Amino acid sequence: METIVEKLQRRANDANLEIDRGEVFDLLVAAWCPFCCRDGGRGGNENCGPKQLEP
Amino acid sequence: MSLALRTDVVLRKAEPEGYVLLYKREPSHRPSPVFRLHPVQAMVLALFDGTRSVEEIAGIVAAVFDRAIDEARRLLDSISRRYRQFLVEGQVDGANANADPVDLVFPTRYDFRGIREPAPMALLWVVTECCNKRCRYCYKDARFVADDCATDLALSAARVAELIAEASEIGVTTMVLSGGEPFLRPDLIDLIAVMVDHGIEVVPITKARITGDRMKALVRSGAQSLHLSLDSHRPETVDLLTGVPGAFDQIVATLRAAADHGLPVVLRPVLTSFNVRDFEGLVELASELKVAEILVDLYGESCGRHDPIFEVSTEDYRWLRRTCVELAERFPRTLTQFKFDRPLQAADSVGRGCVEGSRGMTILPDGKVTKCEHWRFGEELTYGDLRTQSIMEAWESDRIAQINSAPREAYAGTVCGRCKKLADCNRLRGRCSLTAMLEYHTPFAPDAYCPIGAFEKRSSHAADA
Repeated sequence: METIVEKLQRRANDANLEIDRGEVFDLLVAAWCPFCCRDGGRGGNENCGPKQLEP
Repeated sequence: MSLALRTDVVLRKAEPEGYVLLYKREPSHRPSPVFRLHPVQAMVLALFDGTRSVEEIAGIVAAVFDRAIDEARRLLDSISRRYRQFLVEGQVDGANANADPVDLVFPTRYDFRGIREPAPMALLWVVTECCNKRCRYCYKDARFVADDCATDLALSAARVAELIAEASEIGVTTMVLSGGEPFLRPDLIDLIAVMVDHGIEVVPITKARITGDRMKALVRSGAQSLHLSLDSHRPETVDLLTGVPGAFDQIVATLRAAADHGLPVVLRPVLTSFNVRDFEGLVELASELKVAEILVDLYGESCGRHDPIFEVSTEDYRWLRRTCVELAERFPRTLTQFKFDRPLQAADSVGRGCVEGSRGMTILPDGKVTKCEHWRFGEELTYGDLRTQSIMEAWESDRIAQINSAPREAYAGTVCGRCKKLADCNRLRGRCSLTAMLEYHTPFAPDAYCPIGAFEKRSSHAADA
């Protein structure tokens, strides 16, 4: 009797599905903050957020 | 703890295309989103059948993919957070017949990198533009009101409750409540209770005094946390930065009331040249008041109001990072995070961008939805009106589709019009429509993050001229 782990392993191997390729794993675990550039409500920081510009 | 995929949620293989469709069988609101999942995501969701604990499933995922258990836990945590509205805690009546984890594992070549979601995952509700503080570092010119009553509330409580119900139905996980000062809306705590009832994580960001019965009501609402903006342990510094005498006492009163009632507080200081060296004292105060988490904003570039006088010097920044290491040892129960500590994820490969209008929706006090709340000069980035439209109607509007992914012809005359990365910027990176508008007076132009630097070249030429 195959266990759930064995069944899934077999299917994942057949499908060549891995989650250790950086891109796929990062995509799966990406916890995007849609408002990362100003979720403090005050505008950008070093890595995100629009640059300072005046109209 | 165990989770179960709701029985009214369907996971359907689209094997030739390489993804699994997730949707509600009989949605109560239409239009209703259809999500395209990676087979591994679908497999994990299908493993949530109410009989296995989350830890058990982490063990299965770790074993199947030969990963460390911590990585498997992270994966599960991320998937269960993202699709929390399609899961319930504990067992469900009858298994979900549409979700066989083994069947959902199949090969895929589908490119899952696109940032546009079929429904927003988070809403930023600018509850009001009114504020009872005059923060000198604030990026926006909020309307100061001394009488603690917002004057720009166009969405009735009944309408907001309808929108919350729809948000829950379409999979919204988070509502960020911002302003102005969101607690100037008198019925906000009642509305937070509605959000919590609908399984939405609420992030209220405030500097308001919330004590006594009001704090009790907030705790009763089920709010998971309060994000409290306190910039220093020195009253005079806080009063100076907020422009309001007594602001320190107000904010600390809220902090103490939250601690007394066991409401977790995330402290959100904005560190500027004026208060950066107060950080050690602030962490001591936070620790004394049982704050578990401090999320630091460094005053920085902003597309709104900005004054270089507030910028933290390189020397102070280095001091801060050193001090944080020492403070982490002294106060191990107070977690300090800088927003820029978070991984950039896709930004590493496609450059920095914006996910507004792709993963998140911004709702203004007047009910309009916009790609960017910073654009104040016209309706070019407005793509809906929740007074008359549903969230999904706005989300699927032609206008946001046009703003996000206009065809190449729309960019004619700009460097984007002949750029090989045009599709990547639309689909993978997400454009900062604001900076394009400010520089070129159209969203269909390079933005400040243009990977080939066209924006900077144009800007520097303009400066030279």
